[in-house]
Amino acid sequence: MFNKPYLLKGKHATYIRFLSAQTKVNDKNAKGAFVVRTAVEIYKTAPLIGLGYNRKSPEDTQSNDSYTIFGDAVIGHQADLDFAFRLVMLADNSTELSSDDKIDRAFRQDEQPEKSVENLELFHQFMRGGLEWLYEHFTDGATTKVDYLEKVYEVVSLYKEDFSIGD
Amino acid sequence: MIIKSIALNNFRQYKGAQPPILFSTDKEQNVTVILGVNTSGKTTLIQAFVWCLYEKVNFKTRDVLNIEVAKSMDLFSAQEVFVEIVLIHEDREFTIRRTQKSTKSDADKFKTEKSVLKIQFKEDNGEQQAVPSYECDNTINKILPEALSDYFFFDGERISDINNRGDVVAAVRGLMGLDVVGEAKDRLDPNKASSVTAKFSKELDVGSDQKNNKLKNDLTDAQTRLDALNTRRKDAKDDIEYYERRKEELSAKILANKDEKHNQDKKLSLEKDIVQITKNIENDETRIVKDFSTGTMKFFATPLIYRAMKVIDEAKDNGEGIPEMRSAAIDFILDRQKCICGCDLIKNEGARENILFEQKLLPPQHLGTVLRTLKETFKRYLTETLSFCETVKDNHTDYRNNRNFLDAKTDELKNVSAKIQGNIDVAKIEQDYQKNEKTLKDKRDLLLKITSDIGATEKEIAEIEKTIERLTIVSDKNERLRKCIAYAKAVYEWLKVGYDKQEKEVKERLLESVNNIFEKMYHGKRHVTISDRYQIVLMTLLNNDEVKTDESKGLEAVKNFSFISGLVDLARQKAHKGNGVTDDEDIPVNTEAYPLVMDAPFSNADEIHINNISKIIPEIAEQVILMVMQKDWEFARPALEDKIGCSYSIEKINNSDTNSVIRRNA
Amino acid sequence: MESNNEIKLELNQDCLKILKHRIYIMERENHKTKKYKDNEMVERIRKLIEAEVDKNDN
Repeated sequence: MFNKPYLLKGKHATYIRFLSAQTKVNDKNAKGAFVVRTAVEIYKTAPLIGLGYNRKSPEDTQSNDSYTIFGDAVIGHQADLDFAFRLVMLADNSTELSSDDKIDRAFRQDEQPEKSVENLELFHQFMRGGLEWLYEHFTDGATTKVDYLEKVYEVVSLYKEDFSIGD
Repeated sequence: MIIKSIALNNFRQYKGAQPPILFSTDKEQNVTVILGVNTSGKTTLIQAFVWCLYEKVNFKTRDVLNIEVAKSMDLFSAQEVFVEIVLIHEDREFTIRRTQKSTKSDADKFKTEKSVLKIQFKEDNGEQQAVPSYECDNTINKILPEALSDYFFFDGERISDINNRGDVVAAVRGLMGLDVVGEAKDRLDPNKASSVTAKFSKELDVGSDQKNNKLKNDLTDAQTRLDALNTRRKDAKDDIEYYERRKEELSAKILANKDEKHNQDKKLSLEKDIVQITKNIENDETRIVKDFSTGTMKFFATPLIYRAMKVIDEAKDNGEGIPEMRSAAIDFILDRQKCICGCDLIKNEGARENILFEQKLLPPQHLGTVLRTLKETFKRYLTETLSFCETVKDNHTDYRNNRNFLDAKTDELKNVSAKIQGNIDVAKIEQDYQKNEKTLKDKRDLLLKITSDIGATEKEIAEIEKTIERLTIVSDKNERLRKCIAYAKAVYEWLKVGYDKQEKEVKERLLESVNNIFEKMYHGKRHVTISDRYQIVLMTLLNNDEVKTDESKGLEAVKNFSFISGLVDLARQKAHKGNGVTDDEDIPVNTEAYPLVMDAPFSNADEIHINNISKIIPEIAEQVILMVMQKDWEFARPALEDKIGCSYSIEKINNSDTNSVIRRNA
Repeated sequence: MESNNEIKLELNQDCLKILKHRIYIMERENHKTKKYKDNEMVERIRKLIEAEVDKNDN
């Protein structure tokens, strides 16, 4: 798992491009929030947000946009991606699984192709959902660089509040 | 001057008292002839005149006392010699008597006293007035100057000496009547040390005069300087005023532009700040992204972690397995059929069983370790959450603050920029101000110096004026003296001009006269000129040049005779012209006619000359007294006959050389 | 001696005429009478001139 490039399609490609600062690095004239350094860092965070808000989203076929997170980026963050995956597998309640099953799903099904694909798909659905959330919130009332950067705090605060972090 | 008579007493061969010889004073028959043979005493007669007037003797012997008388004198007895001349001079009758007393001291020795001259003149009222003895000689010289005596008492035998006699100038002057003027002129002549003018000049305080002039110059100098200084002071004051005004202007400008400078400085400062803040903002932005990126996964994992932890805790599977080993690793070993320790797993069933058991404990088979590790990771991540939140918050705050800061600064900059004129170089104004300050100081120093100089100059002027005042007293005296000198000089000039004019005229006429007479007497290509010193020079026309020629005695006689005649003639002319003092500028020349007393005038002349001379004589002199020898008389008589007023003869008594008498002829 | 007499002085012509006349008369008189000696004449003329100058100034 997480040892090869990952392709995002449709609006999710657009979203991740919009949010990644790497985009600006590659194209100075690009427009976007550029609030996270690299796409892969969004890639590994978005599933957690998606699961948090219980938001899944299928691949988007509406647009032709696509975005590839390169292999070396994925491999570079493999441990974190693994972590994120396991966490999503453990914390997800959208299926009627027991805790033991969740543990199995999180740790023992990597070599089981059918299960692995199913689990990854779930992971990615949450990832897309999280991406949508991020996009929505970062573009909500924000159009300038300053807006976007200020949104960082807003988003964090919102999330903090929504999940009562620190209470 | 007319000679009335001469009386001799014991004078040389005229023994005893002789009756006075009365000379003709008639205007028409103005000739008196005295005939006598040689050595009879003709010459003596002339010499009597000369002795009486001038105490001059031309004899070989000096004694004038008659020899016979002298001889017959008793021892210790005294005898007198006297000659008395009566003449009329300037309408006054003078009686001139010279007396010499001799006392016989021994048989042939005589003590002869100095002769005594007595002069009397008849006053208007008839009374005789004596001339003081010390004035006698002077008087005589006024009547007939001694220097001219040789001309008027013409000694024909000593012709050649005539021209060599002393200073004729003064004599002629006296004769021509220029003497009063001449004297007056000399008395005022600035070049004569004894003159009035010279005496005045001597009294001039030359030193102070020069000093005075220098002081006056110094004063003028100082006053000019003072004027200049005052002008400069005014200028300096004006300058100072100007520069002070400028100072105020510049000050005001600086003050007004203080703000400008302040603003300009502020602008620069703000611009610097803005750059810094902008940089800070950029850093903030970078940090926000960086910190967010770094911590975002862990942060968003937080609620899930709690859930996961709950799941883990609820799970029964908590077995321990070999840390970090996975099931796949054991599969690999089983496939290899060789354990890590090297044990053969095909052959060694027990080993195989063990490994399989371990595999069960390994993830994904057995997750205890994993879970444990995971849980620790969870815990770790959770601890970082709060600090992440803090960081994000701080970043956010910083970012916002900096942006506000930037806005504030930008606004401020805009405000300040609006206030800036931009064109004013405040630094230059300050430079100008400093320069102005320096100029002002220099001007003030200058003013002080000028004021001080003015003080000094005023003091100087006061000093000079004081000194001048002191000298003025002397100067006033000088002033007066100078005026006197000026007047004296003016009168002198007048006298001189007149005198020179007269003298020139006199000379011209004299020359004319002389040449006239000369021509009448002599026929030939000659004429005479008169030098400045009244010396007669015979000139001859030789090949159109006039040259001085030597003269024969006869010619010389004619020459000298001409001169005398000329003088006498001139005197006669002037006399007849009258001699009133006029009111205008003409110098009156007082002169009178002169007699001509001639002894043997013909002795060196030939017949023709005698005749010629004889014809002229009566015309040129007022009165002629002739002493002639009988033989000469024969030639002269025809011409003179009509003019003879009276005649005398000198007779020798007993043919004695020492005893003569003069008898009047009928 | 003459160097300090450079200044031109205005002479009163009447005064000058008087002086000429009187000096001449004085000289002529003395010439006849021989009353005064030379230095006495100088003094007399001096006084005469001084008197006229003073009179003229006032």
